[in-house]
Amino acid sequence: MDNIHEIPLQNQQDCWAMLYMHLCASMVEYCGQRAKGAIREAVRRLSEDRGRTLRESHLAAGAKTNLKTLYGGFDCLPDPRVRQTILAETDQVRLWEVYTCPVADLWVKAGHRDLGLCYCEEYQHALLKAYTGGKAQVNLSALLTCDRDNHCRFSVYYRRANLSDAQLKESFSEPGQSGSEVVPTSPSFRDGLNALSIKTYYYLLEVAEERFGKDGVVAVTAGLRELAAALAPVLKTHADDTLNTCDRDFLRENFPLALETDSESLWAQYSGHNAPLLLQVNLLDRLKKALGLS
Amino acid sequence: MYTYEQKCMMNLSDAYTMLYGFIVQSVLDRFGEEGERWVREGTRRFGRDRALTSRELHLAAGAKINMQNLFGLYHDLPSDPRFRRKKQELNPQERVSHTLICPMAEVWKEYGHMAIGRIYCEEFHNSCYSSYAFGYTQVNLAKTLTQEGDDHCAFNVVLRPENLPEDLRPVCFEEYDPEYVEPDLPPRPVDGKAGFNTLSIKLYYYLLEAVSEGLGEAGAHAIEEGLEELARKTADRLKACAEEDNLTIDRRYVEDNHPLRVEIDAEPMWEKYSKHEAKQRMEQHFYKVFHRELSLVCDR
Repeated sequence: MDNIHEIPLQNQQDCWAMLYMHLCASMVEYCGQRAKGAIREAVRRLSEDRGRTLRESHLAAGAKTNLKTLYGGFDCLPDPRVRQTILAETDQVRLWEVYTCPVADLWVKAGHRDLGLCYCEEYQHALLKAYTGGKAQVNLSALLTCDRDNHCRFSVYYRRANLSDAQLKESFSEPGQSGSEVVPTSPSFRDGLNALSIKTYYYLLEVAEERFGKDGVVAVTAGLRELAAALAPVLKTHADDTLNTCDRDFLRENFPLALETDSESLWAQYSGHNAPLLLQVNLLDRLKKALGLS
Repeated sequence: MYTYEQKCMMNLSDAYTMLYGFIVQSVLDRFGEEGERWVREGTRRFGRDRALTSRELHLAAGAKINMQNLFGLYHDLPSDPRFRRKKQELNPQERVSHTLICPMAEVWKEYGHMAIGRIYCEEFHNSCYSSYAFGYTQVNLAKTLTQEGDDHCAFNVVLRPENLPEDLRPVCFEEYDPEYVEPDLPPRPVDGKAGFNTLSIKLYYYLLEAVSEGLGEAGAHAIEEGLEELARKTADRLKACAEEDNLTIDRRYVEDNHPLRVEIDAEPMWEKYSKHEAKQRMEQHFYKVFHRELSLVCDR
């Protein structure tokens, strides 16, 4: 977890965790406890988007949309610091435990366990709901963002018997048949986190505006500014510690977003609520300035 | 060493658990996955009914619909003396608890019905707890004693006020109801016989209803066969229990130790749960066999 290839991935992951945390903390600061409901709704929309996108891409690849496919061709690769055990993995059942999670660590150390809990309680439930049309059952009985627990325990069931004939055909091979064993490939670590970062920000902005109007937009943009201020020294330190210069090349490897929204095609899908411009001026431009890259 | 009353409770619970196991086994044996579909549906309907009954009771008492009350107020069953759990959290938003010994899982294991127990665990808890709080409860049961490899059940059932629509927040949480005065909630005695009787009838009924809807008369026949096997196995078990305690199997013993009333006509619930010839099928395929096995004389 500390080799030359893994460190940049860890840095990208931390940037995403900080993005979520700073935007959410700002929403709570500006909009009060009611922001928690908005945050949960945004996490659900984000996760449903991911589930829907995964389902569509897996179908397009000719794969069966079951649990083996979902987790085999997931949209984000795991952070190298994650330590987990997969206890069971079939097309109908996936059971696993996570013992170390760098995202939970970052949130808890920063004093934002509660914001982490909002994420963890909603994420897998919503993702599976979208991927399976509400037919899978997600259980998360222990989670590292809860102060009672020392691990996460997930149990997901997607039972053939609960599906219509059409969905059964879409998701499973017939019993006894070798069937389609296509497992789509995951995107690269950076592409996965880039999409996750854009969507996370977009849905927080969308729900904040819907629920709190202008105040919601202000809350999110204030969070972006705080994030820029917090990220600059962190990225500089990461560069110094690895004998690198914190330049554009370094950021390409260690920061999950493109520094110019114009150069990122995914923004075309997430252009509502003035999202690209607000990100550019409140995060990217400020970050570049702080790093001397303007 | 258990008292007679405790042993009755254990026998009532075991008979209820066996009812699910043997009825479902029969449906699965005959219909496989297609049978499982309707068994799962019946189990969910049972969960909903049980939840709505609790919710109505709680609302009538002026209580809030939240996790503390779902798991702490007016239980419909007494605790089985063999049951062991470690409670970690019980508050209006959360119920976190580990079940360490579950007599139901033990019975399913004993009769080779663990996979059937899994169906129950997956469908019943989710449906029941979710339905209770208007569909907003998040039910997490990531470890279960019916899952191979797990050594306890891990319940994490949460209801977050921020996920409720505005109109339901005061219904569920007193902090969102400024004029709320907590009512006196006197304890209600929990009668094991009445509780298991009600739940057994409902569980059987919803399995019959769903299986009949999905698989027609052939499905209902599978349930009838399950009832006959259930009657034989339950009678064997009761005989063994009585013998262990040097007790005679008579009407009184059966009334105390089996969830259903000895005389089916004495049971008013059959009027409400009468569709699909539920009572007639129960009488023909369970009562007759059960009474014959136990050499009980019916009043009819």
